[in-house]
Amino acid sequence: MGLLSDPVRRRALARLVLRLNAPLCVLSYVAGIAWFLALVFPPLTQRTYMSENAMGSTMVEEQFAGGDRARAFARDFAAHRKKSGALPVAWLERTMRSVGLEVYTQSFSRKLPFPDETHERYVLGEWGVPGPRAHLGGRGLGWVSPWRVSWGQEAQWEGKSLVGIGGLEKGGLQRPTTVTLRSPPPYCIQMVSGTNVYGILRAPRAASTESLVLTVPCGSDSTNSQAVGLLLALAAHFRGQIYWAKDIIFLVTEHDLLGTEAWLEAYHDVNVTGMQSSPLQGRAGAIQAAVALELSSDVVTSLDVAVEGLNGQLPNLDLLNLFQTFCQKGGLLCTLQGKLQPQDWTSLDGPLQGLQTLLLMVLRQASGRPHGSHGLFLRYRVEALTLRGINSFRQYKYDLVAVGKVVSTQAPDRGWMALKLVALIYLALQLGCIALTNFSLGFLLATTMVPAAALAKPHGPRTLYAALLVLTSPAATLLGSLFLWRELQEAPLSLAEGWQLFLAALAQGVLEHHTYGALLFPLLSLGLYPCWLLFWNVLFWK
Amino acid sequence: MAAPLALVLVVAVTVRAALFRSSLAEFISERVEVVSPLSSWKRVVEGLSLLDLGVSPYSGAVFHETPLIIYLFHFLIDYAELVFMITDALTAIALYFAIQDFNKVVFKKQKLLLELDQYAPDVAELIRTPMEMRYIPLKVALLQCFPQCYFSCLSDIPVSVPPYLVCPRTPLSPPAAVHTCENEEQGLLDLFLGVCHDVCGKPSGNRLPLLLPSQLLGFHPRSLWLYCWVSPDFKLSCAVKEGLSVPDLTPNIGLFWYFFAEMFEHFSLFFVCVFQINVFFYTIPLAIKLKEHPIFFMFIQIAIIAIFKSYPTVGDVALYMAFFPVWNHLYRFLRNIFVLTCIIIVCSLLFPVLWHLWIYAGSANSNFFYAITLTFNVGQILLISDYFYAFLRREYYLTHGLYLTAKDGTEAMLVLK
Repeated sequence: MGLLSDPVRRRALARLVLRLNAPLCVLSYVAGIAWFLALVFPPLTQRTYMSENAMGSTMVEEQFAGGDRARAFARDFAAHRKKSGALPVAWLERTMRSVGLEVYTQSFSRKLPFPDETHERYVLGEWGVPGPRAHLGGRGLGWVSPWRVSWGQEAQWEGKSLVGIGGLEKGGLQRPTTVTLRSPPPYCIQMVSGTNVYGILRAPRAASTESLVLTVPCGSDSTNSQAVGLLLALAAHFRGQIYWAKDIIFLVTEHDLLGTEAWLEAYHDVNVTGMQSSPLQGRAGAIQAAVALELSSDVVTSLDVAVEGLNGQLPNLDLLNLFQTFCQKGGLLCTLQGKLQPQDWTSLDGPLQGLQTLLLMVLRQASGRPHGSHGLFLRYRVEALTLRGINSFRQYKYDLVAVGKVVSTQAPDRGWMALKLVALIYLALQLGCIALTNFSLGFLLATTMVPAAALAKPHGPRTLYAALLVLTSPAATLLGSLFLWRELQEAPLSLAEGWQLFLAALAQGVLEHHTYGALLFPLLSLGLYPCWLLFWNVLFWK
Repeated sequence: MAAPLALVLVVAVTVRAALFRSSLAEFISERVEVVSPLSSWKRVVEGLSLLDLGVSPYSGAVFHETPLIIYLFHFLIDYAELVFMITDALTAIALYFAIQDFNKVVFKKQKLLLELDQYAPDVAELIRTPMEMRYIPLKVALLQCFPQCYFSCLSDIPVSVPPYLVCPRTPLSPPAAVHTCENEEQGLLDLFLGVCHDVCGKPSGNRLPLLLPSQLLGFHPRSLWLYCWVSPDFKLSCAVKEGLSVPDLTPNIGLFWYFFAEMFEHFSLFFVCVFQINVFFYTIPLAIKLKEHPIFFMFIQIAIIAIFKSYPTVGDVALYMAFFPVWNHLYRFLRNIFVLTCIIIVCSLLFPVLWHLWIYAGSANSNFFYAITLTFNVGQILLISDYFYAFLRREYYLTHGLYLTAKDGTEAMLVLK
């Protein structure tokens, strides 16, 4: 306790720190960012490895001969779906039963907050791309409503189709031209309802204490029908094996993420998001792991793995490594964030690619959005991944990221130093807490907000500091990250598009907070925005 | 001063009532920082239902309160919220009057010492005036009402009930109280502590040694008699063992659970003794050093109990923090108050974050939570030692003058060794 009680030594240390204050700040900031980005380079980055061999990946044989059957199922499913316009529950039940599973259904409904037609603009799916699955390909589909609206009218785009064949074209996205809605609804609340269908394959020689889940989230379009076909074919194949130690649940959900959330909540008997759902009739024990499948076409050139979940949670790394090991064994191309593992480290390309992947991952995780159904499983401590089959000429995949916004307040007159101190402590506390729960978000916000916050003072070039503060406000950071993200995916945005995307991002943030309990929006608006306002006040102190 | 106090009480009761009715009540009553296995309201309800079924409440490992609590709430179970609110309000009132009396005594003593020329000539700025002391009782009542109300009243009983029973002894037994106040005797301390012992009893296990510097034997028969009257088959060992042997290792903001979770059975008795000694150990030295200042001694002792007891909660912390306004004349001598405030605020914020990360998100483990616990307790210890140092320093300055010079005439520094 010498330092705390000896006044002489305290004074000496305080004087030293005060003298070196500015250099120390700059040095620690730069060192922090450099150290994080050094993850890109070989000594700190590693190829796929298994940290625990508990999964026994070397002892598994892979055989599956049901390709044709999968395609047949997929065709049937797509046809039935088109006919009924919603999930063909009866057909699914019949097929699953014929394959030999115990079949159950669950209905759910949820009120969504945006009732009017502007909702349609914001629920175009991810970031202005029509439909959540549109980037997977599909044939000349126009805009698709991600949820079936309850007023029974369908919305249509006027204008060209937005999704080309085989993924996005090299020129970037084409923007939708106009929307016309027929007879907008008179009601104020939009109710979304659907049915989930699931079948349980009981392990023949084990008590049903643990289970695995194979899930296919189905949106309102038929873009995931190949995955349904594959699921059913897999179920038929698995039924013929005798060595399963856990039950397997094959789950098909309607309205993709909403259905998955309803099912998970009913399975675990909690009510976290205000979903109304019927209770589950059949269960299979504690879920150990889950895999979500999204396949747009029957020919797949590579598989993209999505790991980020709600609020930036990640699954166990070994699950990802397991999957990559199997891909390598089977000769299938496996990508992360849409990018392959960099092969050459000698030239600049390798590290650059690694950096791109790193930044994409940071942006995605920081958004706190569940990028696939697996994101919702993570909340219940179930390790989960989403596999997306890509059939495209390009090697890179697109994905979306949102960044939060910052809030600013105005400060009163005197004692600007005290205010700055309070604001800095508040900011540090918040960034610390955020970094603990979602490291990427914390890192992103720290990188942008800290220099501007440290520099904010009433003296000095005010306009310069003000510009800096505005540039690093959460809203500007969101805008910047959107542009950065598109750059990384080599589909740069124009200013107008970027602005549209930005507005869509804001609305999505609110919607996700309401539907899944994502924390990004409340953290940024209630926590960081007031902090930013405090700094603004410090800057304009009289 | 009645009007501000009444206002404070009205607001406090309203806030508590609002909290009870809100959805926060359930959420807070589950938090480990707020409830401990010893003081959880749920366990009391469990014990009461066991009693109704004719089973001894101590037969399982759930209920660990004294029989007094069970019998009290047996009749008051339907009005539990009201009881908590009323006891909190009464505690505030009692503290208010107790501190008012204390201030009067302090002022009188100061005047006496001034007239006797016991103080050095240049300590005018250290002398306390009635003006500055006017609002202290109100502030104490305020502090007592508000931090605690967010936590303890929703889920804890012993923290709100004993203070009520502790403090009103002073105004309600005027002759003895005034006498002890005026003389600032150990007797005051005895009164407080004796009642603490009665109510909290051995389950908190920590008040017992406080009786040591006082007339110990005078109180023992009373408590024993109380127990016998209340429950004939009550085994003293049940409740004693619980607090002293720490069998329940639910995480809380204290230091015990982690150690005993990872310890071999063979050594647990030894370490239990070592840990529990910490609570009792400082009583005698502090009593010797602070024999002229029993209220400060009580403050320090309560703080030490809140840190080192087997199942602390934020209610215990809030209890001693309510006394800070009484010592705010020591502010100028506190050296680390900024760092410590930051530590305590940061730790309070990180407790729920790391609990969430450990239990719900699964990306942290108990080490993270325990690290915050350790930091929080270190912060509290430093805070207490800072106050102690500040108090002693002020006493020294009062008798030796503010501007100390060493033998060769340069400015001297007062260092605590």
